[in-house]
Amino acid sequence: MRFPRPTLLVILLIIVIFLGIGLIPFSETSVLFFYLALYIVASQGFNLMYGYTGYLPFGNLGFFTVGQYIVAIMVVSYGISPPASIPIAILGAVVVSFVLYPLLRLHGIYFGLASFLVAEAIIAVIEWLPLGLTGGPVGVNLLHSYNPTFAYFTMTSAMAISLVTVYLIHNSHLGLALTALKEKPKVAEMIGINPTRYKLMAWILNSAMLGACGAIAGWYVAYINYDTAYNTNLLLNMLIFPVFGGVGTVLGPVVGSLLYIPISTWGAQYANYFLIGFGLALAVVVTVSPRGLVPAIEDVFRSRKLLKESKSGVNR
Amino acid sequence: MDPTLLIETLIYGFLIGGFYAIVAFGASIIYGVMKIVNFAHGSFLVLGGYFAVFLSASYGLNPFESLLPTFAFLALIGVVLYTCTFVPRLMNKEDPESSSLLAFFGVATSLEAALFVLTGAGYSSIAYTPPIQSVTVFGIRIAFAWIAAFSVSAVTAAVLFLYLFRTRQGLHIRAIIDSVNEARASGIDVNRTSMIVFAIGLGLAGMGGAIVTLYGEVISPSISFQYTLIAFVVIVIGGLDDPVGAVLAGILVGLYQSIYVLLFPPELVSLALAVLLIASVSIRPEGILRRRRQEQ
Repeated sequence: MRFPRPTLLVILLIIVIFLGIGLIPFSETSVLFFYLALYIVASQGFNLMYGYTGYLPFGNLGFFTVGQYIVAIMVVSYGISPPASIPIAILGAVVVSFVLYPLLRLHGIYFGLASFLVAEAIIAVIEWLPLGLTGGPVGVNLLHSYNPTFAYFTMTSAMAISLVTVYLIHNSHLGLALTALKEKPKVAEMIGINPTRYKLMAWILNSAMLGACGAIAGWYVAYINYDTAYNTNLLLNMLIFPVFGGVGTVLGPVVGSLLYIPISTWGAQYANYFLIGFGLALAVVVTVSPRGLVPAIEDVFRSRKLLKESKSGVNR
Repeated sequence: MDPTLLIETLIYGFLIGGFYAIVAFGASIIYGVMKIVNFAHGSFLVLGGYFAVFLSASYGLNPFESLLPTFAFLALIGVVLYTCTFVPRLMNKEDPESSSLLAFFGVATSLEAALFVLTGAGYSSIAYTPPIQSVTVFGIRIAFAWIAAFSVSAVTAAVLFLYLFRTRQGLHIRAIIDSVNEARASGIDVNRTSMIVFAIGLGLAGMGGAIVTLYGEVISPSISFQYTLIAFVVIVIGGLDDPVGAVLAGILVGLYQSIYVLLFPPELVSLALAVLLIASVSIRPEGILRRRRQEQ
């Protein structure tokens, strides 16, 4: 089951466009593209878990929070520059994912609920930490190292790395093993696929992606507080974009982010009225087209191809 | 430590646990029968709370009198949602749990935003003065509202258990929880039972909101998440589809929470709940009552 080559071309095209946008001066457009890149990375993390292992990482926002606050603490308390503290933040998120490793033993909905509760616990712990470390509700200011252009290119690199990683996984033994575990867990185990090992790999990659998002986002706006690190809007977007676009494919989350971020950015001015519609949209999309847009389009193409083949009498 | 304080903590934990049990009961039967994770449970609770506030402001009903109307109102909403929207379609998905968790997270967001718009983000409560402020037993003072709320919960639980274990419909509900296919094969109308269960579940959530006003606490859209989380911690510990386990787990969580807050920093209560949840599913994944069930 090889994924068609065009995917790689599309990925390259996206990376080139994002790099190009980085060259224009700081403006509304570059801010939009920064958040597009951010949500593409976050969606790919979600995709690796939900799309490939079937585990709903409802608490992914927790890793984002960890990433943000490690940068905040590193910069303010230890005087490390933000770009240097990003790897530490990613490492921190990975360490947290190791600590949460027992969660992977939970099945289905238990995992979703427990990981969500853990995310709530993470922000509670951060709010409980001494004010000198986290800046309290006021937050910390990173203005002395404010550099949106550098941060933009860092985010774009993160996007490139995550897209290529997921592309490689999709076409590798790992992707196949993960899909097998999702579709037929017992059969997969029987033919020697170690479920915990593969799920752990997806979980670690997911946490690294989310940690990077948090860290780079904190640096980009040069300001971190409880609300930038943990709010319902972030959580909603992180769930909605990949689900709309389609999980289990490389491009689904990208398409979801590209289509819906402009909508969500535009809708922000209508605040709650917009949220009413957006929340209902999530409910409707999950019900009507649970696999999302890209797989639905792929199905259309595949069935057309099959139809053509059957008409021309080609034996498959 | 002062023993009176400890006893008081235990009593309060027990009393609030009764309230948790009722809220969780609704989520539990909805999950058990429909395999739907109603992540908007807390939002429906807040909606119920606002309805009770509305009844009090417009018709002068006190929180006790508004309990049944609130139940009826939310149950009606449940019937409408079931018959007119996507809810039944979610049940027939290959992975109804994750889909419904996502879908109802969307519903929760919408509902919360709608309540913000409708109420102007207002914090509302009912200014209700109970006939007596508090009851003192052996030198321990217990607020009347808490006793009242617990009594309401206890009566509701009793009625629900009678319904579940002594009526034909209750039998149908239990049969579906045990095995949908076998229930369907023996002629139980799964669709109709699901509708009733969904209505009761939402009704109980709404009644929970009315009970919150009885405590004299404020109702606001921002508290909905916290109740959703409590409901799910409780039902996961109770075994997800086991209403009896949910009631026991509700009281357990109430006790655990109040003892925790007495001894440790109260800011970290969600950490404590996460630890409890993970410990509980690791030790007793089938729920505290550990009813072994065969894999289908």
